Amino acid sequence: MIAWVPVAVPALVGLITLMLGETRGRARNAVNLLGAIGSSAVVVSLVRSAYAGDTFTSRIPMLPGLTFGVSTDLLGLLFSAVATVLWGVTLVYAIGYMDHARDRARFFGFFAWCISAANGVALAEDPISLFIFYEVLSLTTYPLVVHNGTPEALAAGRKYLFYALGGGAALLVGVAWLASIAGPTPFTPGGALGAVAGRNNELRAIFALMVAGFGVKAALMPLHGWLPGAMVAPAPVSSLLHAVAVVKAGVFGIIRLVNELYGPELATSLGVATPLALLAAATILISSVIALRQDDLKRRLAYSTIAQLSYITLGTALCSPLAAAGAVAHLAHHAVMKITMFFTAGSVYETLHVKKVSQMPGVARRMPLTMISFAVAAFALAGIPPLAGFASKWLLAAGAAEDGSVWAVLVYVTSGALAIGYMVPVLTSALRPGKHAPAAGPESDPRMLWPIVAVAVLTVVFGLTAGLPGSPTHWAITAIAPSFGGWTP
Amino acid sequence: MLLDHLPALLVAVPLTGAALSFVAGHRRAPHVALVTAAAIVALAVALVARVLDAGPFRYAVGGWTAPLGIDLVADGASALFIVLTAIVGMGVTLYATAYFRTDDETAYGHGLFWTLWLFMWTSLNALFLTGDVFNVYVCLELVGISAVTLVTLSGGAEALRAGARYLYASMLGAMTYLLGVALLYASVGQLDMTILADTLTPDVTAATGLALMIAALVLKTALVPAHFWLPAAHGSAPSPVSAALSSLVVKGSYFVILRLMLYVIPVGYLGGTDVALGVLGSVAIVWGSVQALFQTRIKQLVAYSTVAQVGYLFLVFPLARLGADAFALAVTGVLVHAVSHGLAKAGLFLASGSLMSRFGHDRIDDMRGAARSAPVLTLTVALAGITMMGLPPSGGFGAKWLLVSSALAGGAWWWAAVLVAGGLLAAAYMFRLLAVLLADGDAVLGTPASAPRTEWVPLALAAAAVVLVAAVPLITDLASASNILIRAGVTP
Repeated sequence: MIAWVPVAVPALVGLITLMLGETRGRARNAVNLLGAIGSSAVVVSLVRSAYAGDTFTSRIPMLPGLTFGVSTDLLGLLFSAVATVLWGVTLVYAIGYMDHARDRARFFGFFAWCISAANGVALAEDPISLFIFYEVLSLTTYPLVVHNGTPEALAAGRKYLFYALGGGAALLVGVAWLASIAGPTPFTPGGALGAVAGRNNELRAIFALMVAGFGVKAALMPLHGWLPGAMVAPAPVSSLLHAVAVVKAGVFGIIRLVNELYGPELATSLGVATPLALLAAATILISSVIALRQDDLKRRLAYSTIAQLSYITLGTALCSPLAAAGAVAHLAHHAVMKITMFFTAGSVYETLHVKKVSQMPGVARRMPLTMISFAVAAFALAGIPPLAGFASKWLLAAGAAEDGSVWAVLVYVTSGALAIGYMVPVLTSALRPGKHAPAAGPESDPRMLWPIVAVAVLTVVFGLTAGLPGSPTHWAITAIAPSFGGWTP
Repeated sequence: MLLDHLPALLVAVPLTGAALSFVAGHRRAPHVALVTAAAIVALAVALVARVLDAGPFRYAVGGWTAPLGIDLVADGASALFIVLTAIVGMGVTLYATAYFRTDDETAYGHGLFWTLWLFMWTSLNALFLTGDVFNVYVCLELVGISAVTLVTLSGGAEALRAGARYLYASMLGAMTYLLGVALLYASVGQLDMTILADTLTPDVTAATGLALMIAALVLKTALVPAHFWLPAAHGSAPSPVSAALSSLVVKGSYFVILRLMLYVIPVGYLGGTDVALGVLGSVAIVWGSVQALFQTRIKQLVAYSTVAQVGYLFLVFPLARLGADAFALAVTGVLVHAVSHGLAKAGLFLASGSLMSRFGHDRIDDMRGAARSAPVLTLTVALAGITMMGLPPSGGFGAKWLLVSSALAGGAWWWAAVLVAGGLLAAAYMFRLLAVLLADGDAVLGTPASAPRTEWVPLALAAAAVVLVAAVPLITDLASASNILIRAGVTP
């Protein structure tokens, strides 16, 4: 039963939040924060158990011959921990950000439900359970995308649904098809499809359908169109959901699909891994170039997210152990880096009403701590050592090189340069003198400032501790090793 | 032992309630109805328990067995439909106590609602329990007459026009069905379904009779292209009536089709009827959804959604011919669909009724901001929408999964494509409605004194449709205890 806690606690928090209604703000904040702290504590203890080799599994019967279950393996817990811990940080930020907003009960309620669904995606023990949580995630995100209720938000919501439900339909067909030929296939490191090996064309089609399903949330081109539009949502949504929980659910699905459903060996021998890798590589380059030209800060970050998500997809699709581990580590590292930047963008907008890069002169002097945090995250994203992004990118590039995929190394190097190209102008623009005078008091609402500093510090810590047990890098290597027959670096 | 008479009680109790509500007067009639509804729920649960425990059983009315007397037949499928009717019926009754609360004795044909509603409930229970094709005719007529009268209860011109059209369709259906029964009887000399199933031999007269009966039932179930009467009738009736009609009454005639097609009529006896019904069902899914997408009035949207959702019910017939695995999965799936649609659609119609009375109009585009001022109703629409789209976790998802699995197990992917496309179309029209409710707006809404209580009823029904996915194992057991699967010798 303990395995359900990371899913159940946020779900319960969401329900209570909605039932408390709009007016009881203090109770709402207390329930949400306590829920986040409590489930973070449980996830941490589950991680300790998993490191010691104890995983918990719990399942309930659902449809004839099928169960609905979760399992606390190390790989799933990595995503679960990222989502749960950052939920707590984002809550503090969101309480500040949404201070004067309307419909806060709806906002925080669905926010918690999204985290519940993301945890479900992380811990689901088989493709069907994962599909169910994946669809719940699509649905619970919709009210947050359209939260402002403006025609612009509604249009973005419509677009989001079009992509998400279309992808969900593809995933449903893939999952149902697989179940009809293979029966239950719980995720197993190295692959779970031994029983149906040989039905190659069917397996290729199922792989394609599932990639189409996960590819929507992973913003794999050409399925990325919804993400820039969804930036119309309030900043906490862009930060946690559209940089961490929702989009990572897509890449996490691809990680499970390649490493633990098909297995790297089968994915390679079927010839499905290479097309996926090429698609991801194209996504990285195209979206990085588009990011260079975005003046709207959140849109620039969104295109950067599209590129970084495909780092993870590419690393996974290379089917080399180092790159696969780098991909998993990058899932955590990109989360802290990108959430820092979205927090910053939201804080700058909420404090100074600055949305565009070209309007940023003076911001660095007006909000120094905020912009230092942004700079740390930006350098980390560009892969400057010893920050978080360096560790995962090093693994990704080394894996590609080990695999003999020189082209993939080139893609990583080129896109690193492009990342500097789209991040540095933000900093130089902010450093230029401008109309914003230094503040006399605090630079922004402390409930927004300190979460930004906290996630920026995490970016440094994850980079410095990359070699130590418990760091995302070490964790990723431990979690991915069984998929490659107990490989050690 | 009283429980041995469960089938008879399930007819006798609502009939007694109907009679009592007529003499009780308009103030006490709601109380009579509530007590009756509670009793039926208890009896329905007892019937489910009994069928799960001991399997299907026959009940000879008055001690006379078929072919001399009339047998009632209780199996897993009939128990399921009866318990669905009981739960939705309870919700409709609770909602109606507030909906029809007014001191004006002439409004809504006052008092008459309760008698007609309990009488329709009686007829539906009888229809689900009858084991004899002539009694089906009697029950269909009784359901039809009470339903038509209920539609016209508000007395408005639009309701009367819709009621007249509904009456003609209903009469046409009943007469066609009776003609079919006459031909069948002339040829075979039997009316009991089980005896018919055992004795049917190839014969043109019998086949013609059965074909006429199926056609008549298709008209009553409003399968495209015979749906022309439904949107007006369901859209203009008082909301509790709309809920009962869309959720339960169409299922009554459908239930008979299910029994005839998969239990009585041998495979291939009626040529390509299986596939033809499946194709019409697919057309219904597309046509109903597209029509729903373009409706500007909320109850019309919901009514067209029924046209689409009815289509799914007919996909079972081609799927059932794809082998033993596909048969069991398809029958179970369609039973889950019938129940989840019944719960969700009742919730949706009742919520639409509440939205209309809060806004004072039924124009979808002018309902902006409802999420802020009527969150419970908005949540109801959302939950009902999820199950109609077949998205997890909901009963509709359980049904879609089973039906898709059936299609894939039978190697007929095109039916799976229809199912998946239907879900996306449902998303299109439901999210069009939800987007308006979530849009920014400060509608000043009236809050009728009865609002809080009535608004929790639709929410409970829609939530039940969503958590129904957890009851799929139970429905699977009931499907295994249905005569259809027992006769076919398959288990899900």
